[in-house]
Amino acid sequence: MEELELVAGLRARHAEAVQTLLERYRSLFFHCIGSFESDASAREDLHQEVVLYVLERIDAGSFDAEKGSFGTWLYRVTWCRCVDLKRKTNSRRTPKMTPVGDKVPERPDLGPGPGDEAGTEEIGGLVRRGMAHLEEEDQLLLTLRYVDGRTLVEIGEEIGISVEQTKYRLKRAATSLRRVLLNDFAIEEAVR
Amino acid sequence: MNEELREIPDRQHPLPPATPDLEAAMKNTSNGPRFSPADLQNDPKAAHDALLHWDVQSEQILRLLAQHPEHGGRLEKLQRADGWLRQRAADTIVSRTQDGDNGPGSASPTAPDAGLACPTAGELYDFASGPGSEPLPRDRHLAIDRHLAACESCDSFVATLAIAPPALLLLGDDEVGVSVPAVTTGTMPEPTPVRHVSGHRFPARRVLIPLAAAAAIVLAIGVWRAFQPVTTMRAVWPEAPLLRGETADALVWPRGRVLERSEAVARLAPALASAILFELEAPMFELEAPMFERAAPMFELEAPMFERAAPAGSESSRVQVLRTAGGAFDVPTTIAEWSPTSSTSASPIPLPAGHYTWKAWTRERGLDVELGSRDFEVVHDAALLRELSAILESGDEDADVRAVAFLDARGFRTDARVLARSLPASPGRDAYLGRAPGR
Repeated sequence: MEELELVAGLRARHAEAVQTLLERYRSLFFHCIGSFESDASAREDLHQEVVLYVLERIDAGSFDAEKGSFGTWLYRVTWCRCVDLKRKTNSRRTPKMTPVGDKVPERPDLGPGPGDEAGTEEIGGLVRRGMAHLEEEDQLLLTLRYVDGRTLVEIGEEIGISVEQTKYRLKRAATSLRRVLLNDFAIEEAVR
Repeated sequence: MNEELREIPDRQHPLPPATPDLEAAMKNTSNGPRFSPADLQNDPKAAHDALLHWDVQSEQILRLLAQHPEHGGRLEKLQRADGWLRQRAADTIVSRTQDGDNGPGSASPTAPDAGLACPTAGELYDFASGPGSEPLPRDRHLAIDRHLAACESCDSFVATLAIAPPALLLLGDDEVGVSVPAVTTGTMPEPTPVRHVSGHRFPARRVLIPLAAAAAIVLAIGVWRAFQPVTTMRAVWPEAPLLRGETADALVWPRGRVLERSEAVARLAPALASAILFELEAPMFELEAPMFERAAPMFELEAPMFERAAPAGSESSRVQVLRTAGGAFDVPTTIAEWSPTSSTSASPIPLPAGHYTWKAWTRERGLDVELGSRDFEVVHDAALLRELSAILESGDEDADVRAVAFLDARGFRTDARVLARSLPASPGRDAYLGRAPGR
C-alpha cells in the first residue's frame, strides 16, 4: 500500500490501512517507545496512545507529503508524543501535597529549606573535591559546561574539537567524576 | 580527608592518560553497559558500573539500585551530585539573563527564568537532528543547548535520538505507482488489501552480494587446496578425541558398527574375512617391563617391581551374544555363548547383518561377576565397500593406513582395528591399537 493511499485509508479508518500501519511501522513505534519505557505492559499502553494520537494528527491534516515521507513524519510525531506523555507522567509523580490543617502561607517560599541547603552544601563540597582529582581537561570541560554555562559549540571552539567530540568527552568527564565520587562514598562508609 | 585513605586498592585512576578519541561520539547503542537484575544482586562490579552510568539505566534497574541497602545511598548521592552540577548551570543561565547576556545570537531581553523553561518536544527533536528535523534559529539552538546542561530530563530525551530508527518493513517496488485516491471527492476508494511479503521481492543486490562473496571464498579455498604440497595429503593414523573422565568398561570390542563378513569383504581385505573378534579388557597391571626400563634413566628408578593384578579368584569368563531388532523395547534372544580362554576370542557362529548385544561375566571365587554389556550393529554397506575398494586399490603406499583412517572415521572402528592389526608394526599403528576406547 502506497503512503498516500495508506494515509487516505487511515483517515477513513479502513481496517486494512490501520493493519498496515500497525504492521509496517511496528518496529518504528517500538523503537521510540522503548527509549522511554522499560516495562512491557507500559510499552503496550504507550503504543496504543501513540497510535490514537497519530490517527488524530492525520485527521487534523498534519501530514504533508511534500515535506517528507510518511515514515519520517510518523517518527517525529511518535517521538514528540512519547516526550509529552513522559513529561506528564513525571509531573504526576511529584505532586505538591499540603497536609490537612496546616496553614498555607500566602506566598510559599519555593527555595530549599535549611536541611536541603545543608545537604546541597555537603554534596557541593564532595563534587568540588572530586573535580580536583580529575584530569585537567575533564575539569575544564565540566567547568565550562556547568559553571560557565557554555554551549557545546562554544566549548568545542575553545578546546579545538568538534561538537560530537565535545559531547563524548563531556560524557566521559562526567563518568570520571562519578567514579571518583563513588570511591569517596566508599571511603566515607568505611570510616564510619 | 586523609590522603592515605584515598589510596584504597580498588581506587582507579579516573582515566588513563592520553586516551585517544577512538570511539565515535554517536553510537547505535547505549553508552552505558546493560545489566540484568540478577547481576546487580550478585556482582558488585556490575552494580558499580550501573551506578557509574545510572543516567542510562532503565527504571527497573534504577529501582533495584535504589532499594539496595548499600547502592541505594550511593545512587542518591550521585543523583544529587548531578543535580548540583545542573543547578550551577541553571544559576548561570538565570544570572546571564538578568545581566542581559543571552549569549551570541540573542536578539532580545527575556525573562530571568526563560532559559529554564523546557523546550517543546518538537524543538528538542530539531535540536537533536532527528530524522526529518528542521534547522532551528541559531539563538534558539544555543538557548536549548544551555538548557540541556541544566535540565536532566530534556537531556535524557535528546539522548534517545542518538540511536538511529530501524528500517521500515517495505513491501516491494511494484507498489509504487498505485493511483493516489482523490481525498477531496468525498468518496473514499477501498484500499487494497495488505500485501504479503514474498521471497522474490528482495532487491537483487541483497542476494547477489552475499552469493558473490560466498563464491569468492569457495574459489579461494579451492585454489589454496590445489596448490597445497602433496605431502599434506599423506595418510595419518586416526587419533582419538580427548575425553574427560572415563566411559570405558571391560567390554572393549566390537562396538558401534561392524562390517558384515561376506565374500565381497573377504576379497577386498582378507584381514576382514575372519570372524568378528570379541575383546575383553586385558588385566590392568599386565605391563611389559621395557616400558619402564625406557623411563628408568630419566627418573633414576632402580629395579622397578611390577605386579600383575591378582587373578587368583578369577577362574573363568563367559561371553554371551544376544540378537535384537534394534528397538528400545525389544526382547533380545541369546544366539551364542562361549567361555573364552583369553581376552580375545572369535565368535563361534557367523553374525549376519543386524543389531546385537554382547555380555561378559567372569567367575571369581565361585561367583559370577558381570563385566557389562555392549551393543553393536553388523551392517552391509555397499557404498562404503566401494569407497574402501577405491582406497585399497589405488596402489598408493599408504593405502592401508588410509583405509584404516577411512573405516575409523566412518564409525567402523572394530574393523579398522582388525585391518590395522594386519599391517606391519610401526609407532603409529601400535599407538592406534594401544588406544583404549572411551579413555
